[in-house]
Amino acid sequence: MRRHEPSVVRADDAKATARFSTVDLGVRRVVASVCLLVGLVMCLGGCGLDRRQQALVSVEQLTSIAAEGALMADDLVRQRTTTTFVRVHGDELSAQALHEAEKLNDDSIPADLTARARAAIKLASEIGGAIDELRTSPQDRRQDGRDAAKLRHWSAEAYKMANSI
Amino acid sequence: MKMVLGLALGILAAIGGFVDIGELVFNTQAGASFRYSLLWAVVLGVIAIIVFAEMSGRVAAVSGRPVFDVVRMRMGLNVGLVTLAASLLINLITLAAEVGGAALVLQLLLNFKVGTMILLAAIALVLIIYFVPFDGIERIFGYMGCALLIYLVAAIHLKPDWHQLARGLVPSWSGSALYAYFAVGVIGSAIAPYEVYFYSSGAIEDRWTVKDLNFNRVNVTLGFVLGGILSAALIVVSAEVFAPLHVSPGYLGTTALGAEQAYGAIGLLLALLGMLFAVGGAAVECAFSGAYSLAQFAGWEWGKYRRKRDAPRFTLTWLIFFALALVIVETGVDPVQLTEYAVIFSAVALPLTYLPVLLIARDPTYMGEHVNGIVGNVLGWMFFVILLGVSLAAIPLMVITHGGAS
Repeated sequence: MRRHEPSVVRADDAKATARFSTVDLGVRRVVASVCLLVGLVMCLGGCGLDRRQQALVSVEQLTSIAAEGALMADDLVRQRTTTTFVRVHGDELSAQALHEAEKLNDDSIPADLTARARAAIKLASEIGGAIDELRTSPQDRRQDGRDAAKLRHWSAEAYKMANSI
Repeated sequence: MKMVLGLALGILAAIGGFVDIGELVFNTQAGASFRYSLLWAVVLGVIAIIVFAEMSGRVAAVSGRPVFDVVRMRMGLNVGLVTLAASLLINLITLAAEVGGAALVLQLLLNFKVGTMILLAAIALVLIIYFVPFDGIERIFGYMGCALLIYLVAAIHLKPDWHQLARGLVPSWSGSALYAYFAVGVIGSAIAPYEVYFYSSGAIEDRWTVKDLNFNRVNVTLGFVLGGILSAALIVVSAEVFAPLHVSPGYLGTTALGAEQAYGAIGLLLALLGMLFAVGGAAVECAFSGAYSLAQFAGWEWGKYRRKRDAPRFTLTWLIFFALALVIVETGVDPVQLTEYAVIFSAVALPLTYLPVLLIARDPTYMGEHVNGIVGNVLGWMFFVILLGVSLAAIPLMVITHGGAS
């Protein structure tokens, strides 16, 4: 087993650096080209989602939030979770439902989607409300059971709506 | 005893490094969106990190050089500087994401204000790093992070479709940009450069010699395979729990909810505990990686084993890293969003990190009889080409899919 001494390695460094100096130039060009390409792609892609896509993403998010809320509510009914978790994660979900409602309200939705957007905003508010009920009184198992059923129903409704967009 | 203690380095790298916030976010999203069909990306990422971490550990043991020393030496000063700047930036973003992630997990456990939790997480991490010796840090985060094994148990408990699961291990192509984006994310989070910077510098800190080469192989293989299995388990749990309900996981709480579905409150608490120590361990690795990179590039004294006054600039660097990360997360930026950027930008920097490692490991001038064999070279070049593809595709895919939104 041969262990290379530091002085030998340092001498080898100089040789290796010289040997790869020609590679350096090529690599620098590649790095510069990649940076340029990345910048260009980011500029081109900076336009964001179109309005129909944005509405679709928001409604899909509502499907997701309601389904997660239903899972948490079920776990509350079966006493398989902690109230701290329900309060904190429920707060995140409820805030996101509100955010999706705001986006649907603020974005200029294509005319053929206006009615569905209005329905989605109502749905977002109901989903957020049910999750807030879970956070407020997690120990009320009867209420939790009702919320679980409602959230499952709203998730299915939002899913159907998303498929129609 | 040395062997057992040393293996903790692998476990830390596996749990705290391999399973970090990137894994927790991307793998859960991948499982929910594509069920098992991205498991192959985990396998690919695990083999790639094993190949390159083994090489970097071997280079460190034989030549006494950590990765960043090798980067500067092989790629020259200018490209070395580009790599250093990219590495420091990515380490900082990743550190901010990990600190933010630790704060979110603490909030899910304790329900205090998130700003307070961020401060608490950052202060706790700094105090642990400052006062606890290196092997103690390995043990704290490595062993406690093993609580994430709940995901492995949960994956089995949820009775996955083993046939579909096996099919997911074979690379496939769905033709969608979103699928490609998540494939890049899963691979990118598995082979984040900071893991290798940390691993090779740790090898120098542990004073590895050629006598440790077998240990290096066992270490990376066991450690990263364990990390890979946990990583795959996250996908399986998500595929079983979230995919049928069309849930798009966007929070760490959602990842924890997966374990709760299998084992109730106990599953939830173990998942949160495991996440806390996994992201905490990864934060330590990121901070150290940043300090290692800068100190090695600048030729400063470095190392956790040195007394603080013997490596003052190294100590100051990781403290500054934590301070900057704290400032970033206290602005209210979403740590999960930050993670996505960190993973994608890490993917871009992959070739700059791994090419020099490969070039040195196959160079007999430096490695003597411990140079790469034919298998090592073939695997090294094969994975380098794959990583180059991942690197080039990462940002365009992020733009096309609007960060995985569509």
